[in-house]
Amino acid sequence: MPEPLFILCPPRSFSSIVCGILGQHPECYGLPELNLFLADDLQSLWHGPMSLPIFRDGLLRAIAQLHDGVQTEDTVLRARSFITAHLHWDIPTLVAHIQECVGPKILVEKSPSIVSRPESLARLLAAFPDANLLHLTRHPHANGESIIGLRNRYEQLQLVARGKASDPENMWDRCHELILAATEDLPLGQTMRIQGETLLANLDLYLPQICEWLDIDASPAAMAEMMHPENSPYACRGPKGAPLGNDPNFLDGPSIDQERLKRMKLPTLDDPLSWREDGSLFGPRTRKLATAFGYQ
Amino acid sequence: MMDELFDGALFSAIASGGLERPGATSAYAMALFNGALYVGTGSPVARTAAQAPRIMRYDFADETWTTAFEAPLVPASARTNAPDVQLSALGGGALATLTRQAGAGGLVPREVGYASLTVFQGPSDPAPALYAGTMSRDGALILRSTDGTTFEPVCAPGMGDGSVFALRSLTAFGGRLFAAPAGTVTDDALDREVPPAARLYVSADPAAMVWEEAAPAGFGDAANLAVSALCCAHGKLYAGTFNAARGFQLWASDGAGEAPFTWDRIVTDGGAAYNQNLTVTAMAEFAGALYVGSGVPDNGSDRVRNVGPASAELMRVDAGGAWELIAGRPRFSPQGLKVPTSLMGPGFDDFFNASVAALGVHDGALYVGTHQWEAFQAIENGADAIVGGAQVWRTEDGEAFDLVLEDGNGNPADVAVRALLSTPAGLAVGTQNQSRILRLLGRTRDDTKLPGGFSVLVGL
Repeated sequence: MPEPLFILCPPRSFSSIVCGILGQHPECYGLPELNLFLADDLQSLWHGPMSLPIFRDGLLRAIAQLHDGVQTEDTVLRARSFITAHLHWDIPTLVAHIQECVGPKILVEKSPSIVSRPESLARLLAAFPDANLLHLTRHPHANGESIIGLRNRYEQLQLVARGKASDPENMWDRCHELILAATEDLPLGQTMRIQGETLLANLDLYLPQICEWLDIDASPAAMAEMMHPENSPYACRGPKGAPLGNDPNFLDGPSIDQERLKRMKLPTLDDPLSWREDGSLFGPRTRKLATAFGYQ
Repeated sequence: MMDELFDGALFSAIASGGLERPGATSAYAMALFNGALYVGTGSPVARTAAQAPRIMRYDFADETWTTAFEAPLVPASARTNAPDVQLSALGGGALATLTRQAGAGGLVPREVGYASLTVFQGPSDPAPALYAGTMSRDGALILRSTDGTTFEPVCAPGMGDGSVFALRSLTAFGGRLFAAPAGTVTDDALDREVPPAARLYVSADPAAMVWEEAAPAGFGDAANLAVSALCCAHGKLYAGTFNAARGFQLWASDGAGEAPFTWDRIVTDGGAAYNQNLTVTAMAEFAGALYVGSGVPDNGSDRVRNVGPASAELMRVDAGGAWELIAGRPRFSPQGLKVPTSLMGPGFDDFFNASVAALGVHDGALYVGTHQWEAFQAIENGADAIVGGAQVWRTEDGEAFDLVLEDGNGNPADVAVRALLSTPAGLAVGTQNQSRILRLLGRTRDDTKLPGGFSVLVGL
């Protein structure tokens, strides 16, 4: 079976649309957010981090789709039963099962939850030491504004977003630093980095490069498939029991809006930060990382 | 070929210990002139008569060194003790003693080193003359010598700006001589890298002391903080820049018409590595292509501009402006997927190779000299042994590389190869030695008394 592709990035970094696009390649299979590497085994996962329903939806939808070919309230219930019957599985076994259901395609997965803890990234790399890793970035200013915007829409997020660690700048720094630390010693080319903004604004330029990197078909036909992330069975709201499994914005509008993407303007590192009451700007830690990623 | 090379020692020293002047840390530049090897030496912290930098001459037949020129002594000034911002950022108080050498009111060398040497003949030169770009806390000069002994300034200090620390990258192209300023010195601080403005100067007749600007400052981009390297290739002059915001740029001009010339941008954003490719550190034309070495000067981090750590890269530019990554991090780019053709990553697979400090062509091969700073890390980590040191890599095809010198040729304090030159005796290698800094940083250790002063090696 081919090595999976994991997209590594902090939350609100275009990972949903990028995962959706890459997952539509004829040689790939795009998954919802599985959040698998938050624990060592399914038992710990299901009754630990996945106690939060939001973390279960992706796995439930994937199992329902792969086992029954459709996501309904009933198939999600069956997926739940399957999971509880296999809580003794470790995570690689679960992924192997998903791979077996998918067949010989590259699994494409992204779970921003795993990049905030080094142990989660370590689990991923221990389970899949040869996986392809795409380090996706977004300008820290736009990323921060997006996080704040989402928190403003969902009261539950506001409740858990407390303390210095939840400051979008700190989240951005920490996640990217953990990704860099986890990947710096991997073999040449196993990890590739790309700005989400640049990728999305120039899909015709960068998608063939990603295909070349993954050694998969870069023909116009394959590109055409990738331009329709909305064709994924996971690119919509799920049934009762597993309604999400991805960014709600993406689920509500998964198509590529190329005109909008091309109009997207990059902010600067000196722009005021709306979430800062004291008027402070990005610190040197963020500026160093951001300029290394090509942001101004 | 390499089997033969490894049959014996590849390099032997024709100069060591800074030629009896251990404070002379670097052999910055080399040139062949009138059949002899000239080496520009010095140290950024040279402040006493005993540390006065020299241009040394090596006679191949006699195998002897003589002093071709020694910096004259001038009264010290407030600038004499201005702290080096890079050293201050590196070692803080531990390196403070490096700035306490000059006696207030005493005499100090006019220059601290000779950053560049080249041979050029202008209309006022009866024969090819040797030109030297200096490093000076009183404003850099370009010196000219017709006899290899007498050196006279052919420009105003700092080309009219006395805060310019160095004039480097002396390059003859199209019947003109080009020079680029580097570094800024004031009464308060010395920054060895970034000049007051990213200018590039040209003279059709330097002996007549006529210099003009060859390009708009920074090629019109304020983020270009310096013109860091020059090289002729493909019948053009290429100029690499220092750009902390976005990574280096590479520009080219055919030099047609009068200055300022028309320039085309060939590479931007550090070749999509952004400011991890902070600056072009060396260039050479080899086998019809331009090789561009890059990285972050000194120890891979520019603490003044908050960049790094990063490691060296090497790319190859063809006559049409297309580029290939030879060694470095694979990446997506506006020019397509870039995978290093040598299959070596950043730093030639050695994180501590922070930059390509020198490139040279000799006997059908390209040589790459690195700045390798592992000794600093060994001290910081409290390692059992101090290891590391400059490397030299060799390639005949620009893709398969062999390591022909490593570990500073046995001295980890020889952190960089600052000059490579093909000579009748073989490839000459000029080193940069940082034993004094290592000793200060590792003052609690008993193994930091490493040999000091630059070396010149010849081999292959």
